[in-house]
Parts: sequence; C-alpha cells; structure tokens
Amino acid sequence: MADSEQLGRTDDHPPTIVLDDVSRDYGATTAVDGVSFAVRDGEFFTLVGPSGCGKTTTLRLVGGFEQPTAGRVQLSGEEMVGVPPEERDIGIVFQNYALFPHMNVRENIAYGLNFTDPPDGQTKAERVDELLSLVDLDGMGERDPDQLSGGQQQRVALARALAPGPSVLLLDEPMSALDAELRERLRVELKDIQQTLGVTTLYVTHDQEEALAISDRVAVMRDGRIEQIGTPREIYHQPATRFVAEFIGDNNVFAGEIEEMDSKTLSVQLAGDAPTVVDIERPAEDRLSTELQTGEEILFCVRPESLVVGHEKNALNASVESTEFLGETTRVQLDWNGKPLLVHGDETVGERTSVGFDPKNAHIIERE
Amino acid sequence: MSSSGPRRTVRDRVERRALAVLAVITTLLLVGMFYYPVGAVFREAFIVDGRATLGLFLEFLRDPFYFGDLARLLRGDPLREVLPSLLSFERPSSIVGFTAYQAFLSTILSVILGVPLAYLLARYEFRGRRTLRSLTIVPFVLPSILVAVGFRATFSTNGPVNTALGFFGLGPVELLFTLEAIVIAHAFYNAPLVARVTLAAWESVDASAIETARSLGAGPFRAFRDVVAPQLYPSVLMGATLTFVFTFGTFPIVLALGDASLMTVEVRVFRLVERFDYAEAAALAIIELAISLTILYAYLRYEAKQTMQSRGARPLPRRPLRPPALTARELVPRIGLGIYSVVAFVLFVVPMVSLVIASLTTDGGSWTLDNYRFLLERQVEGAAFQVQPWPAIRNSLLFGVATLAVALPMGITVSVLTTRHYRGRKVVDVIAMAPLAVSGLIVGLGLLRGPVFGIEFGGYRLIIGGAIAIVAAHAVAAYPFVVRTVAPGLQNLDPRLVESARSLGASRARALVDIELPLVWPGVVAGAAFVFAISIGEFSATVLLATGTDQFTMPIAIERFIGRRLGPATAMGVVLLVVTSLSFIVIDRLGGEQRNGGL
Amino acid sequence: MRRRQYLTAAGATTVAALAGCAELQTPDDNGDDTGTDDTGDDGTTTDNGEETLVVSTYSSFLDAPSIGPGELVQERFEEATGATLEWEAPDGQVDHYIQRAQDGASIDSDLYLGVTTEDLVRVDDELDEPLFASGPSVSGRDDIIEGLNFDPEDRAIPFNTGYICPVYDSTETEAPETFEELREADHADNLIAQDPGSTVGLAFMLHTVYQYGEDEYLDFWADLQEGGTTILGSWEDSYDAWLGGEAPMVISYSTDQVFAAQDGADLDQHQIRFLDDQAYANPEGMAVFEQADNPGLAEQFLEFMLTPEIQGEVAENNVVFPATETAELSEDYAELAHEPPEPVTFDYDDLVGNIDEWIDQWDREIAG
Repeated sequence: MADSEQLGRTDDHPPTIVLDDVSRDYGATTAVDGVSFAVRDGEFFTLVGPSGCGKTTTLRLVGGFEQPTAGRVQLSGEEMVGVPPEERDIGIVFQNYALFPHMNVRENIAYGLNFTDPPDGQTKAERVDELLSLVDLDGMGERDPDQLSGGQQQRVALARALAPGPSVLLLDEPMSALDAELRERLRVELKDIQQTLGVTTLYVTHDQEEALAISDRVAVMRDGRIEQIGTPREIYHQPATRFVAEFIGDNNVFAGEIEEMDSKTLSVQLAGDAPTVVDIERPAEDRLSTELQTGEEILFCVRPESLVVGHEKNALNASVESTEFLGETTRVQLDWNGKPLLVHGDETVGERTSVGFDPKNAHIIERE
Repeated sequence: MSSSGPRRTVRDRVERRALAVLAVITTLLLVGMFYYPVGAVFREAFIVDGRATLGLFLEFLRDPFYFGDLARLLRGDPLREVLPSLLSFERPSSIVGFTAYQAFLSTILSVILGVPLAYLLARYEFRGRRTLRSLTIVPFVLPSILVAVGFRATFSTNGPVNTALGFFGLGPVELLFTLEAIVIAHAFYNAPLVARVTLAAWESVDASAIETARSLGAGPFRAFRDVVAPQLYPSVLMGATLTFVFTFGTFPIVLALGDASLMTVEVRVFRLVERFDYAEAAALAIIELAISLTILYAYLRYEAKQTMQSRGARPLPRRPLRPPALTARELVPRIGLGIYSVVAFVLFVVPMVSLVIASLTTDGGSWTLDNYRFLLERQVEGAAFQVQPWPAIRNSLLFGVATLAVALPMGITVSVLTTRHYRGRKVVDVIAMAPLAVSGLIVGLGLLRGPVFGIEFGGYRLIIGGAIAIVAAHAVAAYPFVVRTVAPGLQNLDPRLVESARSLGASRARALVDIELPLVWPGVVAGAAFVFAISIGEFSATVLLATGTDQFTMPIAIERFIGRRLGPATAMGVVLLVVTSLSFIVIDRLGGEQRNGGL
Repeated sequence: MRRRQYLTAAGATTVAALAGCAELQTPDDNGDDTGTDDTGDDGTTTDNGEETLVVSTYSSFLDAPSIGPGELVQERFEEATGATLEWEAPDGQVDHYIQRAQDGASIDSDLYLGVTTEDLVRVDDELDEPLFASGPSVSGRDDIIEGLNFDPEDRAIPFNTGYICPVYDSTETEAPETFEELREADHADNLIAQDPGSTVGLAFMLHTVYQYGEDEYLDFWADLQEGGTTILGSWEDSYDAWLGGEAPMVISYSTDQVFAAQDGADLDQHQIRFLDDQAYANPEGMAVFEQADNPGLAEQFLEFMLTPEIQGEVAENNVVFPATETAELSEDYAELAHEPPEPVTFDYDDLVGNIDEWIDQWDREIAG
C-alpha cells in the first residue's frame, strides 16, 4: 500500500492527481503494477524510465484513455473510474503532437474552446491570441500544421492543450522528436510556462537528464512498478535501488560485506578476487528501513565525479580502458579487477591509475 | 474540477451515448432484417427429417456436377484419373468451378478497366472531370435486364461494334451469349466499383510524400512505385475482392447474356428455391457464402496489415490532359489513356447509348417516342393498381436519401467498432460484411418468411413491411460499402488525434465528426455514392417488403413494364439512368472533393 | 446558377407530389401489413356494406404494356356485380401463397387467377392442407374445351391458354417442320430457347419430354446444344435477342402475330411453326383459396370470367386463347392467333412426382 510520502500528504492542499495501487493488465502481461503516487497542485511531476516500463500507460490511465484493471485514480479529489477523457479536465501533448491536419494553427488551438468557455470571460479569439503569444507563435495562426517546424508544432500542441485551462496537463514525451539543442531550449520554456500558469503537470520521458532538469519531483519506473519517488536531488544522490542508481546518471555500484562498523563508519569488504576493504559513511539511523548488521551483504554507489583520481581514501588500482571526451569533462572507463568503473579525468588509455573516494560520498542502496 | 471544469449539457450527454445507441440500432437492424431471416433459412440446411446433419453438404461436395474433379476425388476416384483434368486450365465444367472461374476473369477485367479510370480522374484535370467522376458509378445501379438490352444492342451481329470493326475490315466478333459477354458485363458493373475505391485512395495520397521521395533522388516512376502504389494496393485489392464476391454470386446477368450451359451457383440456388428445395438451396448458398467470406477474410487480413494513408494534408496536384510538352514522359501516359478511353467508350458508354437508342426506336429501327408516351399515359391514365412512373421515381429518391441517412451512420459506427483492437475483430468484420456475400435469393426468401409473413412471438405475429422496412433492408444491404470505404482510413488514423480531441472535451462521437470523418472524407463520399447506388438499384427486397404499388421503385417499374417488347421498360430505364446520374452529381457536389473541416 | 434553380424546382415538386400521394394509394394492400392505410377515395376500396373481392394474379396481367386485361376485368366485374375488386400481384405468384401457407401466415386473397399445372403440383408437394378449394360451383364450366382441364381434383378452372412453339423470321430462314429436323445442326443453330426457369422454357422442355419421353429428351437437347442453340434465362431476353437479329428463330407464343400486327411489323418476320403439327398448351386456371373470405363472390367471379364476352375480351387483351368453346373472338384476332392442329400438354397426373427430376436432369445435361 502507498505510504504517506508517496501520497504527498505533507502538503496542505489535497493532491490534484492521486493514483492508489493502480494496475493495468493486457491479458497475461502487466503494463502497470500497483502504482501509487500523488501530484500536488501546481507541481511538475515526471515519470521516467526505460521504454516499456509502463510510464506512458500510467499517463494514459490518468488521461482516461485506458481503464485500470485495479486501483483508483483521482483527479482533484474526484474518483475517475469510468469517467471518459473529455470529462477529466485535462490537456495532453503527445510525442507526435497529433495536431489536427485539416485545421490551421488557430483552429487547432481553438478546438477545445468548443466545449468550454475561455477562462476570465475572454472571447475565443482573445484566448487563442493569448496562447499564441504565450508559446511565442504570434501571427502564425493561419498556418497549416505541415508548414511548421517540429518545435513550432510542439508549441501549438501545448497551446492547444492549455487553451481550455485544464487543471491537469499531461505531457507524453513531447520533446523526444526534437534535436538536442531545441529540446534543451524548449524545456526551459516549458517549465516557464508551467510555472506561470501553475498548472499541475504530469510529464513522461525516458530521458533522465530532462527529468532531473525540469521536474519538482520524479518517479522512476521499471517493469510497471515505481522504483523511487523523490526530488531530482534525492533521486540523484540517494537512489533507493540499484536500478535507480544506474538509470539516473552515471554511477559506480559496489557490492560488499560489512566487516566492521562503528557509529560513523562502515568497513566494507568489496566483492571480488582481490580482497579490498573500503570505508564508507554510516547513514543516519532513520534513513534505512532495517538496521545494518556486521557480516551483512550491502550495495553502495559512488558517482563518477566523486571517484577521484589520486584520492587517498579508499584507493582502488585500476587501468584505463577507454575515454570519452565530453567537452567540460572526459568520461574515463577504468577496469578494476575486471569490474568497470567510471570516473571523470584526463587519463589516457592503457595507463594505470589509482582512484579513491571520500566515505561520505558513498551511498548505501537498500534494494537490488 | 467540478466547478471550473467544462459544462456538461444535455447535448453532451446525448453525444456521449451516441455511438453506443447507434451500435444498438445497427445491431437490431442487422439482426431483424438480415441475420435472423437469413439464419432461419440457413438453418434448414442442417436439418433433414428433423435431425441435425451435415449430410447435404457432403452430398454437394461429392457431386461432380457441383465440384467437378474435386468431388471425384472426394468420392474416391483415383488421383491419377482426376489429376490431369484438375490441373488443366480449361474452363471448369462444374458449377462451383465455373462460377469461381468466371468471377476470377471478371475480377481481372474489372481491375484492368477500373484502375486506369481512377488514374485519369485522380491525376488529370480536364473539363467535365468532376461530372465524369460523379457518373463513374452509374453502371452500378442499372438493372441487369437493361444492361442486357444495352449489351445485346452494342455487340449484336449487326450492332455498332461489329459495324465499326467491319469498317476497318475486322470482325465480326460473336460475343453474345458467351463467357466473354458475361465477363464484360460484369466488368461493366464492377470496373466502376474498382475505379471509385481506387480513386478515393489516390486522392488521399499526400503530395509531400512524393516530393520527399523525389528529393531523395527517385524518378517519377520510382516514386510512384515506392510511394503511391503501396497506398493504392489495398484499395485496388478491395475493389477486386468485392468484384469477386459479387460476380461469384452473379445471377441475372448470366441468365440474360449467357447461354444456359454457363450455370453459376446462384442460378442453381434459384432453381432449388423455385422447387421449394429450401434445405438444398440453403446448403448450396452456405457453400457459396463460405467461399466468398474466405476471400473477404483473406482480404481483411491483408488490409489490416497495410498502412494506408488516410487523407493527406495536401493531395497530389492534377496535370492538364493536354500535354504541356511533347516529351515521351508527357506523351506516353496520355496516349495510354487515349487507348483506354476508346476501350472504355465501347464498353461503358456505347451500351448505355444503345439503351437510350433502344428506347427511342421501333422494332423496325425507325425513331419513335411511343415508349415515353407509354410512360406518360401510364402516369396520367394508369389504373390505381398499376405501377406509375412518377411515384416510382419519387420513391426511389426518397428511399435512396433515407437509406443514406441510415446506412452512413451504420457503416461509420461499424467502422469505428471494427477498427478498435480486440480479439476476433476480423471475424466481426467479416460477419459485418456478410450482406455483401449472402445469396440475394436467400436474403429474399428470409425476408419473406421472416418480416413479411411475420415473426411469431407468443401468439403474436410481428409483421414488418412498408417504406420503413424497405429503407432498413436497403441500409442493411448497402452499409458494408461504407465500412469498406471508411474503415481502412480510420484504421490508419493516428489514435492520438482522437485522444487529443477528447482530452480537449470532445465526446467520442464529436471527435469522430470533427476529426476523423473529415480526414477520411473521400471514403465517406465514395461510400455514400455506393449506398445510394445500392438503394436505387435494389429490386428483390423492395418488391417483397412493399405493401402496395405506391411503394414501388424505378427498378420495379422497369420490371413491370416489361412486355413482349422491352421498349417501355427501356424507356423507364433511361429515366432511371437520368435520375441517378443527376443524383450522383448532386451527392458528389454536396460531398465536395476536399472538405475543410474544423471551424 | 441555372442548375441550382433547376434542382430547387425539382425539390419543390417532390414535396407537392408527396402531399398528393394519398390519392394515388392503391388498393392491393390487403391488410397484412403495418405500413399503409388504404382509405383512398378513388372508388376501388370498400364502402360500408359493399362486398370486396381480392383477386391475386401475376403482375404482367395488370402492368405489362403490351397486354394487361386487369383494368378491363375489374371494370366489367364491378359493373356486373356492384362489388369491389382489388388486385394483388405478389412477386412470387402462386409460390408466394404456398410459402404463406407453409409458414402459417394468413392468406387474405379470395382467388388466384393464373394457376398452372406445375403450380398445382408444387402446391400438393409442399402443403398437407389444401391451399385451394375443390369443386367450386360454377355454371358455364361445361363450355370449357375438354383437353384444357388439367386439375383432376377440380380446384383450378381453366380461363385461358397459350401455346408455345417456335416463332421465326421467314425472310431469314425456313423453319423445320418437325422436332427431328430441328435437332439438326443447321436449324438448331438458328434457335434461341429458354431454360426451364421461365414459363416458356419449361413448356418447351415439357414438350420435348412429351415428344421423346423422359429417357430421350436429353439427347434431343444435347443435339440442340451441340448444334448451337442459344439458351437464355427468360423469355423477355430471348425475344429481345431474336428481335435484335441474333438468331432467326425463338421459342415463343403462337399468338406472336397479334403483337406483330399491333406494332405494324412485317408478318413474314413473325411466322409460327408448329413442330410435328403440335404446340404445348399452357392453360391458366382460376382457383378459389380455401381461406377465402368471400367464396361466394369468388365463384361469381369465376362464372364472370367464363362468360363468352369476357372470355373473348380477356383472351384478346392477354394475347392468348380462350378456354371455352363459346368465347367470342374478333375475326382479326382469330386470323392472327394461331392454334396448333394438335395441342399437347401434360396434365397434373403426368407431372406430379416427375417435373422436378426432369428439370434437374436438364440442368445437369446442359450445364454439367
């Protein structure tokens, strides 16, 4: 069952989107498996995960395009089971934008205003103009969708979704068809618009970098389940599972056995042929669900930027396998006793080197 | 949300239920006017002397009269005796074999004659193009007796074709009462069908796809082969499939233009019904249906795998018919079209002109207006119990329009239902197509013994007849055309278009009307034309369900005006020709070539 | 613009005609429907207290342009009796009533005009209960030509007969004198015949059975087919093909010259040939339905139909021969309508149990 953090009950307002133990089966396969989360009013909430993890199905369950096989979906405090999409007060932008090809930009944006009055007593035309300028497409209203660039189409789709003033905005990989530069620019714009309007947003992406950059909170999904929910920082620095640790950014995950521990430090015998013992900081008592025991097998991770060449603590001798120049930094792949490690540095291939890390930069992962 | 959300009005609620309501009405109509009556007749094939059996089917399968060499094999004749004739390419002498054979040839010819017409209409601009486009399907509505009149006049030993051939020192061709005559007459009916569905697909090809191909270095032929043709195959194949199914069930044309040695399954069903062998008639009709549905099913499986473009944002521009330059690239296709139009003129136009001439001449060959005078006299002086021309025209048009109003929503509803993804939906699709494939005689028999005589319910007899029943029967017969012209387009629309519309507050029905239908509009218009054609041309159900001569239609008037000479019936046929031609022009004009949807 | 005006005008006419259609209602609606109410004021429907007779017949009796004694019969009968006559012409003819009886549907007609021997065979094959009443009391039936009585159970009273024989264009060919000559290739090639699905085709086929016996008639047909005879499905098609010059000889009616004279055609092109001096008679009878509401009036109708004057007029209008010795035919008519020296026909007892088999064998011979 959902715990209080997942349901976001720390906020005073009732959450705008609530999924409570929601599942969706297709015959024998389960696309969404007991998912629970809550999105607060005005929050930018992202579902991230590899393709096939169930994130899009989850979004479609919120939109009413799919019905859950089990569990409850609530929007603005109302039960949504059996409520069709058109009665959910949502706006949606799809990966391919799905602009109506037989309508021009203005007609596309105005379409939703056939079914609800524009907010604040505006006329339809005023509302469309307002949105055109919001998405920076002033004067493009008479164009046909196929005369627009990909980025412009995306903004039309966004404007169309926002025009009726929905309480929930659903974004299904809206950037993935765009090139990298445009994507970065648009996600800033998107975040701006979202904050200006304060519309509760559920965002689906497979791009973890985008998820971290744009979201208030992120849910990482895998095989139909949520692995972890948290702020981008929590997700990045305190991954709850090995999957999250490795999916979000580069990471080095170590397995080992607790040899000794005191109140501040754990000595961990790393798994592998060569016996190596490293010290890592003991996490605060309340962060872990179970108490650590001597002799216990544990996982912990160290980010590449924390694995420093020449660092004296916890030194590991490795050889340089390959390097990848990324501009700001160079990603170096090392081989340590047959296990790959990622560090940042300027080593050259074939060189032997020693890397180490500060015990406080090691983070214990609770689950495999 | 409840306070700030979209307002829900009564109309919204109606819209929300619209599709469900339509689906229920469609089902009721189909069950009442088709599945139940037909099922009741088919049931007899399985019951002999009160016991359930498949004996009749086995009997047919083992009778060489029906199944030829196949039956001989099933009967136990040794393979080596049967094989040589089984593998020969000669015309099969068995009824089922011959029926399939002539249907196959008819299909080939219909495609050969239909596709160039679609090409001409889709790719060239010329005076009268839209009118020609509208009139394409006129042959489809002509009662077979009139087609027979036109063909006999056109291809008779001293008819215009042989006269023209003689002028060039050729001929004469003895075409009448041969397999060739039947095949050509079938093409007369069905090539327009192939042309119309292919045209709808061709008009939906997006110019930008071709421009993309050309920009990638593809020559015009290559671009056609790689971009245009794949979008046409499904439609051409659909036209071919429907042609096969129709000609497999052919009946009056074979009787009128073929010799009795050319017996089709349906003619034999007719014979069996005539002598009240309902069980045998039903069994044979079921075999006929099974073959047709197998073909349809194969097509539907194929169709499902295709990615047909629903309407392109920008259709291909049409070229002038007059070549802009005297290059081979410009001239070759136009010369080809020139040759085609001579052939098409002889096969399509001359028979209809012959029909008009036949209505204006006496036996001796002199001009006369007597046949039209007869129509006027019958209108003015006819006894009350006689069929009169004007009510027949009026009824045909009213039933046609009413059938459109029923069959279009039915067909679109079924299209929506069969393009959703669920298990066995192809089976549902095939069953929904059954009205195209079931023996017309069996449908007639079923209607007679069901709705016309009355369906018994606990001591009451529910009798269904009159104008409403006629429209219902027409709609049931015609709606599959709408499904076939609309469903492939819907199938290939991005489902996110509808989802976007619904997220914006549109009901499912509203999204269908606002978004999907405008995007598959050429298919809707083509379907509408077929519906109207089917309704106008329908004879057997109408004559059974009419509760008075005041409900008779033009085809019935034609049939009733047959006398020793066919002149008066032919004159009525010309009236039918004119009325339906005008109607098709109106339908196409109302439908528009490209509709702009939206606001 | 002009086209539009034209169409508008047409539309307006539609409405006017619709409004006026109540007067055009026809009375052949006998109450077994739910669709119309036939309370027109055209004088053919029932006034209170007045008797109504519903007479069923084949549609060409009423509607065909070249014949059509329906109107005459109705007028004279209504004049003679003061009753009202309503016509019914179901598409299936007698079969329609057999089917109704089979399915337990009511029969609301009083009598059938145009029952043939084959019809009676089917009636008895298909129904256990009688469809038609036996032995109507009709004065004048002694006048009926002896050989025409075809119903041993005395249900159907003959009212006219046609004779089926070759009709040929003597400017093109000389017709054979006998069946044996006809089966030779040079004559066979000149003939257009019909299959037994049509009345004329059935009569001619029965004539060949009569001539050759059920063991050899198929050989005759095989010779015809071999020799190049064209066999079509309906008399109308074959006659039209014959008029169009496709072949100089067609199986048709011995009254052909009556039509030809009406049309002012050259009688040399419309010659009659009685093969072996025979022609197959196709007598048509009248039979009162067992369920008739008004059997008395129905019998009056039978008597009326047998009166010499009506016999003559109906025969001439229907372009057939009268069934009574006493019929009054005009001289012109008698001259043009040819009667065979030796009329032949199968009566009921000959056909019962055989006819289906003969047709089936024929199908298998010709189409197999």
